[in-house]
Amino acid sequence: MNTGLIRLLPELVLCFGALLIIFIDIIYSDIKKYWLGFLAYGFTIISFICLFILGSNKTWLIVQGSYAVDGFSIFCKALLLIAGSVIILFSIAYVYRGMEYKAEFFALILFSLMSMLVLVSSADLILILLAFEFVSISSYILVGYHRDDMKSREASLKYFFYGAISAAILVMGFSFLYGLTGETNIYLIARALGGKTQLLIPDYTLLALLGLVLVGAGFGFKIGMFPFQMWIPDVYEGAPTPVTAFLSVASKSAGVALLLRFFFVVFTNNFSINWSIILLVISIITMFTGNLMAISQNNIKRMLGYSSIAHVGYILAGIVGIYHYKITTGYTGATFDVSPILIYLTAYIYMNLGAFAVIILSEDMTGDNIPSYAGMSQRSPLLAGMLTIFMLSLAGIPPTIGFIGKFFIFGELVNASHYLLVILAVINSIISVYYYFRVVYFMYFVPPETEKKGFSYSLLTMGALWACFAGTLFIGISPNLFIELAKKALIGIDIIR
Amino acid sequence: MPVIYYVILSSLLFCIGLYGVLTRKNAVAILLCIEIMLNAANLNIIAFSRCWPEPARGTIFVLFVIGLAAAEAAVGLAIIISYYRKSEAIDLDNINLLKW
Repeated sequence: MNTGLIRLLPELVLCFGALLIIFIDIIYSDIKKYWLGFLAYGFTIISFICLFILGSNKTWLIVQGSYAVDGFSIFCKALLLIAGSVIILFSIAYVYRGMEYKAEFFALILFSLMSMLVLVSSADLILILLAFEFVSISSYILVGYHRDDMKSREASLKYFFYGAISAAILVMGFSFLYGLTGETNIYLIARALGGKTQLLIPDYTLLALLGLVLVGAGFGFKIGMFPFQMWIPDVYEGAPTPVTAFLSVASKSAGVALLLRFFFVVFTNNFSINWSIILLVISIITMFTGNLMAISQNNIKRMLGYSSIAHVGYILAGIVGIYHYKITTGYTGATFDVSPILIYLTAYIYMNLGAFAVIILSEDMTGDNIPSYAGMSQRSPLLAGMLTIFMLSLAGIPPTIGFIGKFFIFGELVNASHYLLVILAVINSIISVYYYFRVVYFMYFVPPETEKKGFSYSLLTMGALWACFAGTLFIGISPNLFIELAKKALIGIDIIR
Repeated sequence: MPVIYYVILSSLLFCIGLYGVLTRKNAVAILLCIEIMLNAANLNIIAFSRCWPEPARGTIFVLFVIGLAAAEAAVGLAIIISYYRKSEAIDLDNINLLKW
């Protein structure tokens, strides 16, 4: 028996939890459903503890080398589990307020979370495809969970079509990579592309370029990079709010992690085509699309959708910086330092979760429209103050975690002497201040339409909100501890096996 | 037969599927076009797998893709039906509640 299989424990715990929830719901159908929510929360915590116990800097390649457990994947899994557990806390009150099939909701969240954990570790084309589709299929159902709501059903339909097309494009890209090298393991594909083993045809430029573009398009759909960002605002507006938070935080982070591993392993080492120029252009357009479209939005979920597109633009700029640094310095080491992007992802997760927590808490009283947040500072000073901090953080203003994230990405770009990209990114940050502060303006400087108070502070959601708030401010004020931790975890992707 | 003929055929199929996805208005027709795209990729993988000493790897890949396509079609049809029940239409021109 291969002892490496014990490394799959965090994923197995989540899978077991999801199945257990479904069984308990069938057998004890009159159980209070929030207990199942607590059970789901408990399983994410157990999974996190397993991850922590099994964590090490060593790289494990298990299941015939198709599953990589290394510092990078463990850090990403920890982020995903934090995001997942916080979202389950949000959903307990939300689901209880009026949703059918409560137990299945938690089971689907756990299944989706499990497949994301598999996604960030998988190092084989088949496994990547299966995990990618598992994430997508469970998300389609979650998006359409409000079956009586026209918007939710429409969002689900749109998400399904965009997702299915992206999956087909991804399989086509994989088919070219497989055909060129005859391997499905990404490390072996990288070796073949580097000329270590025989290729199908000696001049690989055309087939490899086809594979690169198609795979990039498939992944781009998932993370919402230009020109595949059309679904994001529609789906974010229509989905139930905890699901929107789940998509924008967990699903997107898993997609970015997958993109990082795949592109740095397969298309970087000994690969002659320089794709950073394509990604550079895409990242600039993505930033501008997200920020310029967000200005005119009136729905806050839609606005956060466009803002998440802009954040993906910054992340792509960071990838360009890392890649370019490698090219210019001629770095040939076995590990790639991707810590700036992971720090940015952490920041993005904390501040976005916090913003969504405030939206969930005030949804009943205000609705989704930004003008209806008028006078929040009088109706609920606490929520207004917290949302202000999260908006500051999303705009990247110190002393918040968002500033730390942007600082590291821009620092990486300066290292790679991409000054134009830095300037454009800073211009984008300034544009973004406008629409984030529009919310703050309505909360503090516009008198409320109604004097209605009585926000229902669900205890669990408040707890999650305070946790995000503490993370946003604490890491923002004293980032040293966190950065030490991140560097110590050796957050690099091993590119050679 | 050289593998290039298969690759050209599957690329054509893929483009036909993509064209259908972009032009068709009926939700079920779009689903069928997506299936054409997936099967184009399957044909590609099978054709390529014959060029390598271990064709079993490509065959297994295709089996997984077929299963995945079935799962996707099941969920997709369920979503389409749930939409159809309320709005009595699956024409994508009418799906315009969410825009801009």
